[in-house]
Amino acid sequence: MRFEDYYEVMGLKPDADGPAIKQAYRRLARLNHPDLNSSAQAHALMVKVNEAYEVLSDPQRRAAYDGVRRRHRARNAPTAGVGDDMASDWQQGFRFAGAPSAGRTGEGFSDFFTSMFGRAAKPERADAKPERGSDEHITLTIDAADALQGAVRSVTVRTLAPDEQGHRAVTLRRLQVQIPKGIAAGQHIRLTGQGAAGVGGAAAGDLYLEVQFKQGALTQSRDVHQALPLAPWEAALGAEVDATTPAGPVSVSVPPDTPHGKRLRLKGRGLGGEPAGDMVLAVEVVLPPSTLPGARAAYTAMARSLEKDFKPRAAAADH
Amino acid sequence: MNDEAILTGLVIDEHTLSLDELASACGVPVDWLHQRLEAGLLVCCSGEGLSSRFASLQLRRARRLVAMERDFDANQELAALVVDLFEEVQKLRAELDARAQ
Repeated sequence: MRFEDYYEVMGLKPDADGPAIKQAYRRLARLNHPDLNSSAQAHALMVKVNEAYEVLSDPQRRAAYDGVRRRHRARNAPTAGVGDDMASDWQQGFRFAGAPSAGRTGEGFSDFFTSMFGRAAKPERADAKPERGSDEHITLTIDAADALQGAVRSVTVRTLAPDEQGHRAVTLRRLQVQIPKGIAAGQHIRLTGQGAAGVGGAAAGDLYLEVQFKQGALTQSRDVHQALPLAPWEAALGAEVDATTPAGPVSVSVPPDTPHGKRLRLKGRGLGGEPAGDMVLAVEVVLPPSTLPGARAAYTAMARSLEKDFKPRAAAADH
Repeated sequence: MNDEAILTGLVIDEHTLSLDELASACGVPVDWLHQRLEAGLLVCCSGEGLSSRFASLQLRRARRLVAMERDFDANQELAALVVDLFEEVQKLRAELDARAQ
């Protein structure tokens, strides 16, 4: 297990006081805020910063952590031994006071944090006052294709639950989640009863998955862009063709003389939500290869009929 | 522990949240939401008063407000202003994306 130097994570000296810790947290939270910096590095750093702040801003946790840190530095021991030291500290009266702060859970604390703070000193009492478990939140990043077609994705969540001895501990669970077809970036999937376990027999909280798409994540609209390949005669004469939308197949009317590159917008046929997005079909006229049976003859006949009146480069020459 | 069963959740928007559910999802008391609703810093998607309903957009906004007030000790108006700006930036980015495609 890797020792986490929370002071280093937050750029603080070990004797930093409360206001300095808060100031450092605010500075880092601002610099790495997901609405301003959506990089994976910023996200990973904020997970660590949140964890460090959970410990350093709580006098009891900080005192326990400082003890472990001092011994770790004095001995410069391999980190594998740190967990044992922490466990013994933990058993000496430092009691688990509940979940880490609301809003900072779910996306994972390190094994180091879990080993030190993730387990209650005493098993849950049988007569504990019933209290529903807290709701948890996770950001679920998926491919846009998952939203178009639906998919099953694996999610790893850390929540509080009683272990075999009845201690409330941070536990790791892997869930297989159905991604509904048509879900949009920014929408939430609510998994009832998959949040933190309740106390005293009360119900577990819920788990909320906020959907983001890879690349561009929160910036994407609910419009879906897709190519619509057409045969030359479909584009020229007009046609009814099938297209696949998040809500299922639809029939699209292609008007006569539809040029290559034209966009056909199907209102409200994009990703769901309020308001629903549009489906935008970009026309791609696909030429049949001349090697197809009959194609060469057809092209030749078309050339003879049209070459006097159809000058495809004339428009470009005019410009 | 592995749970191999495939879970099917509810999509917030198709199923909206009550005031109590939103409070629980944000880890705040219902009164906290009431104050911001009355001040116009948060709006519901349908209903009113105790029967207000909330969709993904409002859940996200409420959680951002909570984070702003908690992480930066911002007062509720300042937190709302920052969240307004985030939402405006997000809208403009979406428009840029749409034009680029």
